[in-house]
Amino acid sequence: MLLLTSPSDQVQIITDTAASIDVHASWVDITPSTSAIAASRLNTIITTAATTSVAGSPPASTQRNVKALHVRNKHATQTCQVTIQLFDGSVVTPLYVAPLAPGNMLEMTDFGGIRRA
Amino acid sequence: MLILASTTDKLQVVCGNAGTVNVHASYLDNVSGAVQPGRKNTTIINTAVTDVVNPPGASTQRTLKTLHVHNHGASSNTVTVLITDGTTTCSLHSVGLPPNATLQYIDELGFVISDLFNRIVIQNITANYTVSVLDNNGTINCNGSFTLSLPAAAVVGSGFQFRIRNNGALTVTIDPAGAETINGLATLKCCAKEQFTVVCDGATWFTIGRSSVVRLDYQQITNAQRVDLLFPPDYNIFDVIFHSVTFKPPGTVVMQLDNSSGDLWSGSYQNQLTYSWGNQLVPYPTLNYGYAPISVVTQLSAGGDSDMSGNLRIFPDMVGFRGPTWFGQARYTWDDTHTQVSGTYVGEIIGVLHNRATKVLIGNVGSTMSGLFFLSGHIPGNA
Repeated sequence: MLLLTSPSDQVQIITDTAASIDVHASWVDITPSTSAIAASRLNTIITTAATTSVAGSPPASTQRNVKALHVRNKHATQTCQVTIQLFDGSVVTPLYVAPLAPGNMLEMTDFGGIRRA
Repeated sequence: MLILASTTDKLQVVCGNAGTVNVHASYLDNVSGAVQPGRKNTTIINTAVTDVVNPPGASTQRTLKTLHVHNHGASSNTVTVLITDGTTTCSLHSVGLPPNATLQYIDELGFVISDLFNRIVIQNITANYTVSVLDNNGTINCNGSFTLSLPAAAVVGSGFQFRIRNNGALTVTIDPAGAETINGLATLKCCAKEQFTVVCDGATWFTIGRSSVVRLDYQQITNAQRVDLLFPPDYNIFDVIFHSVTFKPPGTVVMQLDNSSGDLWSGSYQNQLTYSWGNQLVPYPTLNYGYAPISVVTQLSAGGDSDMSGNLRIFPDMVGFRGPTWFGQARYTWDDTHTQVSGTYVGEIIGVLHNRATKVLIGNVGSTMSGLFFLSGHIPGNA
């Protein structure tokens, strides 16, 4: 579980090489004022060395609970160092850094945390 | 948790080979607050991309609770799990599943592979490679001449370890980060056929289970004039042991090093040790002991240079040991005028290489031999 609680909060992934990184994020948005719950997801393919937002940002007055994050390097030969970090609009908080060999993947789940799968 | 939130979202599986892969998915649909369970069973028998969880209905959010992908075939099969929104497709996981193994996705836990064994991660590496935290407790299987770079010890931390296996004929260089060391050295060679564990204590690196002697080659021959034992680089002391060997007379037992692409065997006798059975005088006192050699020859033959030094020693098998009298007969038994003593022999050749060679050749020049031959190499102390 990663909570994004302001419209400037993001989950970001930094990739250090031009590989081919598939990212899937699933989340649940909760609007406390109405108790409305809405689930959603985002698929992202990263092919450059970049910092990429992979789970969007919650709308105003909404709390986004990122339930799962899957990061897989599907490049045939290129290893890519992946950094998963939280950004609140001003402060960057790295959560996990790992080189992903071709075919390797990371996943974040509520019970398992961030780990290789 | 994997969420399918639009009518084009779906989960798919693609197999690398035709076979039988069974898939079960269980999910919950949220329709305006009402929760409804559902499931789908799929049998995949080809390599087509197959839907294993269909898109949810309009205004419905589908949450995947479990996914089981079972290889029911007789061969391993690579299964890849995909998620698509109709436009962008992401590969979530891809793994080779042995027969009867199951890849499971469990909500809030993620992907887990279940089979009969707790398998380690194996990386097959043939070019420069940087070890990562993901290699912890795994095996790095090397083949080639390249550098295996280690991550900073502080990054992977105390207790990180992996096993290296050099399955090739060349040398792999292990290079710690920056000024860090391994076994106190700036770099460490993992020579051909070596295997050991590399361990980090959080500040430096060391090895466990590294043997100073490695078996490099083994051959069993029958009625051959010679045996060629391959000798990889970076070993400077060799040890050839043979046993249960029969030398057919008349002949001359010779060990030779070959460091060229040609065959030196029938050419000059440089770099040779020669055991001349009939011409060597055995010091009599040694004949009273079971392990005494019939004869010891340390002879760099004609043109012998500085490429090698060593001893060729041949002993009768203990099976054939009969006492001093038996030895006494042996010293005249291998030339044109005398008969070789019956039985088989054990022998050992220990040498130090000053220059490189690629093969160690042992033969019975002029005749043939049969038996078992082992080549071992000693790792240089500063490797």
